[in-house]
Amino acid sequence: MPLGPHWLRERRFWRPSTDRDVDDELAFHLAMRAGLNEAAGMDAQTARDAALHRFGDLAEVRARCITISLERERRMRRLELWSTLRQHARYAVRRLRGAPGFAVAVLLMLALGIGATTAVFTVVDGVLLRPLPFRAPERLVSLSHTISVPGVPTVDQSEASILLYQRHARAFDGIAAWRGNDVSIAGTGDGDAAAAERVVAAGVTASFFPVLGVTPLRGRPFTAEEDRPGAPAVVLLSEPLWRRKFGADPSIVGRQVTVNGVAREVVGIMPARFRYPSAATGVWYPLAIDPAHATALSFNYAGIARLRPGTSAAAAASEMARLIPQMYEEFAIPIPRAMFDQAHIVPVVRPLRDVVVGDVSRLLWLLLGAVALLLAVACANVASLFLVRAEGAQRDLAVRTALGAGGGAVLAQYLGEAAILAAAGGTLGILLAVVGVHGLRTLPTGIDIPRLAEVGIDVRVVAFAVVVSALGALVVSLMPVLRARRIAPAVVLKESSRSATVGRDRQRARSALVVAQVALALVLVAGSALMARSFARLRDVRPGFDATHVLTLRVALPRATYGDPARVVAFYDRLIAETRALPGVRDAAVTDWLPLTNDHNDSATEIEDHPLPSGTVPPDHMMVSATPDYFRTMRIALLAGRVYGPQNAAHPAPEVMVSRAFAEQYWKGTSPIGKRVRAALTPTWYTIVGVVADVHLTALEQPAEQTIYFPISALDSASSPSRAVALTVRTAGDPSTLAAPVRALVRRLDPSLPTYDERSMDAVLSGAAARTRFTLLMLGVASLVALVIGAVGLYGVLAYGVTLRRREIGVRIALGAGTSDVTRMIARRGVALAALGVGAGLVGALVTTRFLHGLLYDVSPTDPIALAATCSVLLGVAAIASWLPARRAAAVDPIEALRRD
Amino acid sequence: MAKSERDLYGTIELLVLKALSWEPSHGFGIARWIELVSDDALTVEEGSLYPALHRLEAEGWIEAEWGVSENKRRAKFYALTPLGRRMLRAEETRWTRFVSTMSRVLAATPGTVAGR
Repeated sequence: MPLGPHWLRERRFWRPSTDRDVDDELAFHLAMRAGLNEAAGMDAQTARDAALHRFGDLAEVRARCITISLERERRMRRLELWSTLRQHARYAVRRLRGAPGFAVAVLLMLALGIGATTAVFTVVDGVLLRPLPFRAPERLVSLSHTISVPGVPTVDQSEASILLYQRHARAFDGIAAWRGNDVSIAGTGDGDAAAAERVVAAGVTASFFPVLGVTPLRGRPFTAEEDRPGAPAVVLLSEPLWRRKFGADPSIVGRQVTVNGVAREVVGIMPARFRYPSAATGVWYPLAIDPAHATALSFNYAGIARLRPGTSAAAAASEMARLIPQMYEEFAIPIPRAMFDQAHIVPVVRPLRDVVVGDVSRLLWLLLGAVALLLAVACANVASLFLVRAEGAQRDLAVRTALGAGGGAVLAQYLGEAAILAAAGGTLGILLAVVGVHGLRTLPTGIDIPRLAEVGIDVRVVAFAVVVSALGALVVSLMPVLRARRIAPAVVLKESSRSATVGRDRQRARSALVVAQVALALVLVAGSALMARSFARLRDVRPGFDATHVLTLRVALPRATYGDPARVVAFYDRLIAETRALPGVRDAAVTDWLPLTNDHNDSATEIEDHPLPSGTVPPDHMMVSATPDYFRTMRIALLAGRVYGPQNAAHPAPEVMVSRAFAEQYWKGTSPIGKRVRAALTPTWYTIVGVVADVHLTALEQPAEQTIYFPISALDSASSPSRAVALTVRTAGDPSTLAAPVRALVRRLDPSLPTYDERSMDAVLSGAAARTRFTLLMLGVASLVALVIGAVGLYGVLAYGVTLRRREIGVRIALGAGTSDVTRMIARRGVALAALGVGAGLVGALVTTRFLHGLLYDVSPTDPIALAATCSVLLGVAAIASWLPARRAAAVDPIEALRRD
Repeated sequence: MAKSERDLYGTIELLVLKALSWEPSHGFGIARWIELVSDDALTVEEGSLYPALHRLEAEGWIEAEWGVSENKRRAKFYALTPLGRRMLRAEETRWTRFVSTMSRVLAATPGTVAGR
């Protein structure tokens, strides 16, 4: 190894600086010339002047010389650095080519670890870390309320609350509300665009786009005038919908489309990157809240706002809280003042990003943690591979050290090898990550990760991968070097390379790495085991209905053509009757709340024989509307009483059914049949005629709701029948075969009605466990890989140990040790190492599995069964990994082993 | 290298290389050699010698080392590198050819071309 370039060495000794150098050189010239002049007879002063004159512009020459020299030195330094790097790289590549097995193993480990970590970090970065794609997103907040009503901890905004804040709150630059729903949209005229299509839509206030700070791609946003009752009907389209349905025709702006049967003028197209409230939103239309008839207590709107610069969310919340009492004075509120006050409405201001990301953040951080563990296992394994190499290079290193190569040179050699492998591994890893992210985005995971469409590999993610690889390279290269430097070269050179002492010392380090690998793998496996237990528990949850052989599909009746409730009910009756007449159909029914979907309806409820003290807010309960045959179709068990009648002219009695949980809540031990309930603030009392089994309406993980079932045709003036419903069809065979006939049937009944969301109930049910399954799958893959890497690591350390102890084993066998003695000796060591790792890992698992809290269902993070299973899996794998080298040890031929020295 | 070759049409670099082809020397020695060999006929401003020296050093045609001069003073000595020696030979040839071509051209009369 060169000690450094000639010029550098020289300079280090006695060249203080380029400036002084040049000065010295020029001074020497002038002195010599002056001396010559003096010898020719001039006096000293004249001689110096003549010399200067002859020289020319001294200052300029000096400056030019300095510039040229500095430039040269800079270039030399750069060249030197490059050539050193190239030399190290060439040397490293040569050495690696000599050990292809080692290189490939390290490469794979690093690529796997870096790839997985980068893929998950990409998602975490895109979903959680990156700001929302709006102007000054840090000032955007979500507005909601907490409320003291049994059954509903939080509510969004009502028409009155939004108007109240818009009128009086000073903390905001703007406040907007939106409400999501689905609409049928059709173009006017002929062609494909004329067919009605179901799309996700959002009703928004005119302030919605200014608050978010977005402008349409074409056209304009809504004006305040268009956001009033009776204003001309307008609509904004999303770029994807415009492209798909209207062929990206720019002339659509200014033309009419039909939304839910009403003609609306398209005023603009929103850009493709604007995906709020959801990535699927295709249509925005003005909410047109009527201040004169604003409802106060139906909190059906999501509130968003832009904070005034310098205003904190807390300050905004306290200002809003001061405004709440004013709501009672400004708006018509149909409950007594005392009851309003008792509801204790408290405004909540949260960063909009937290709300958009929602509870998926926990899952993503968890996955990042899991892949980080995987990366750690891979790094530990790579480090131990490097240690084996250090073993091989022992003499080489010692010779170099003895010959005076400094620690830096030795370190540079290993760093070079590690850097080459890390660079290659990092590149492979990024490729893997690209594939992984693509898979995550396109494969049906069943869970909805917000903003996933925005996710992409970018510079920051590549930077992340580079940092990860660089750290990996540092760790793996430092370890053997630090060890190599600790051993005096003389010891190594004197001892035979086959001597066991030094090897055993090194073997201890590798053993420690193996223990670490086993421990880290155990943490991952424990996480998977807990998720698996959760998943099993979730599978065991009885949803309350029989999902097999049930087809569901949705229809929505536009208010424009189905304004009369009687027409709605007549349509449902005909739909059910005709569906039932289809071959292969057993039963059919209509409901407005398909279990385990996003359907939702709840209301404050009064129970006749449980009167509340005056001023108390009535409790909230879930309300489902369904035709009487719904319970038979879904096989929801009738536990007591009978099913309600259809409630029509022929059967006018107002009847309801309740779920078992509801009955237990109010009439534990006695029969609820004949008791009466009603939605708060409505006039009609409904008689309970039957009790049905509990159904999980919102999630399998949550206890079954306390539910009241109303006939869908309840002709109560206060509750007109739902126009967006799900048709449920029990079939004799495979439900999917009936999708097309049912679809055709709806089209025959009313060609303008789109059907959508066609699914089997089995699919709905499995969707309800999607998050648990996804987490299980991810953790499962990570832990399987970690397990394999850990096992390989254990195998490697034992196998190498056998090689080191070959002589000793040979002696033992020669002295009469049996095959089983030798096998046991080696295997015992492997299992002992694994046991140590399992012990350490258990402690780690107990600390880390509590991060799973919230993702687990009905399983404690320290579930003994899951942890015991984890330990036995690890010990089992360790036993197999130990058995192979142990068997090899037993097969050692003593004569050959002893002769080898 | 194209730039530095063009620079050599300035004579000063060629003179420096030639001066150093005899033996390593410091800047003043080179100036003195040019002065003596050319009978002071080629004398330019002596200062312009030094940027030329530094440039040639940067190109790697000459290398510098501090040493002690004949009158026991610290001085920077320049020596030709193998590369510099090759360049000198090439440039000498080129220069000679250039000069002879120029002489022929300048000696020619209008009739010379027409006569061919």
